Amino acid sequence: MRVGLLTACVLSLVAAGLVSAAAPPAPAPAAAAAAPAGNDAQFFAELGFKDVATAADTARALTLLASEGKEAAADFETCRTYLRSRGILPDGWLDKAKADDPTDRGHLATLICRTLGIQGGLWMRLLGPQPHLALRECAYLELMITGCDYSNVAGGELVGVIDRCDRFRQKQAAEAAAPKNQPAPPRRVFDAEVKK
Amino acid sequence: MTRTLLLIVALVLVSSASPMFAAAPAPAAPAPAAPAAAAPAAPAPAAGEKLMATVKAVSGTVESRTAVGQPWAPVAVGQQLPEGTDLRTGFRARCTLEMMQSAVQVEPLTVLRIGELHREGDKVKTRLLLKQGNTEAAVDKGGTKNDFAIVTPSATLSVRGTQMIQAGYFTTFGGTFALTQEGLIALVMAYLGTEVTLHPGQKDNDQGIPPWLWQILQNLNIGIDQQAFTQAELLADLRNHTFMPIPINDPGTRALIMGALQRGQEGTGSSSSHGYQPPYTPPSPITGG
Repeated sequence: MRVGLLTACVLSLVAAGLVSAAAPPAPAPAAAAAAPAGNDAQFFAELGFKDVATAADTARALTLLASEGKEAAADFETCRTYLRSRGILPDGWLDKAKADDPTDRGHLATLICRTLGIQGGLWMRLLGPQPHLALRECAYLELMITGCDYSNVAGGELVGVIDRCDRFRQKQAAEAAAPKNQPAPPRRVFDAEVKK
Repeated sequence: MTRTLLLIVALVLVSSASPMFAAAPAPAAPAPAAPAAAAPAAPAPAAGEKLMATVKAVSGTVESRTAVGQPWAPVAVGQQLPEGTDLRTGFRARCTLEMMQSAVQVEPLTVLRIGELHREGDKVKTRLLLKQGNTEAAVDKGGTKNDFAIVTPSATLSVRGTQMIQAGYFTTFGGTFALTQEGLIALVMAYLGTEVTLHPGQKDNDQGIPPWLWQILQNLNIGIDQQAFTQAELLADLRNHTFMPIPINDPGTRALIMGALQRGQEGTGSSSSHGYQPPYTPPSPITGG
């Protein structure tokens, strides 16, 4: 009887998803989009409904982020070449990954730290942007959410990360450009065409 | 005593985790129950006069389409967008819309539908269905009455007299909502049906619940507004938020899946797809006898 009750509890916990975080990451579905096409609006709109972000998706999204939208290459190899030229891929996971490989949070956090030049705390400065440390740093900066560093990244999550990273970078740039001891400029409310 | 306690815990967890048993006062039902309502091809006919949104400013890649299945086309300044129009923006792309007494700025990486935009009696009804991304809206309550709301998969933000509101939603991150200037907005959580009122300067997200409950809710089907989503997107959402296989024996779910498989991927005007595969091959119908 006791065994049955315990089994029921364990099963209910599994059903509730409470222990799903401890499970190994699910294999990515066979992604058909090895080389995503279309413009950036189409890419991000379709990426938002993907189960898992592939290495090709991550490379293209990071290329847009690193180039501030100027590099519009859609091909996986072209994106990797660009990221390599920016010094984002040395000995990294994305440098060796296949286009259909699923992206996990830890490696995405590593790439984000390299792209944005995030140095982190003591251990990250000593050991470099290891996946676990990089994920904690990105969570601290509210660029990603906490979780295990080996779980897969959903497509919508990658879009959200890119959005937060770009806002973070623009905010950093605005703070660096603003003269010190000056009050912050009033927040831009709307485009001038509508609100004058 | 211990046995009773364990049984209660098990029942509570199972009932919380299962959409069938969830006492969800969510405004929108999950997808499988109503396949007919999931057909997003034509917006629901409005009772009153149809209104148009005018594009006031565009920067970057901004595209629109008038209905699902129609090709996406770039948006130009001055273009008139009827209700039912989908909008999507690219990296660092923005678009400003003017709708009667309200103005909406669509931020980068956003997918949005103008769900409703028409006059009902003496008021203008506006419903923006935000699939992902961020928006800012300035709503003027003077003059004609304005029934303005932004619907996200996790919450509905309705305006009760305000000037500037912000709403955002991304998968996994959830929603973020803020009132940056004067006014008052009401936030109704889709998961629990709870309502939060935001005052000037306040912001909230849809995670103002205990962490363990949030963890459970992450695994449930979210009560998305079906008219904003294609069948393919509904299926993707089901798999993202469900820990159990889709019940194939349910006739509604079966019709939804079959419809999506027959329809294929959403027409985007190119050969690319959403990038996911159907979770299984539907069984062929039984013939003979």
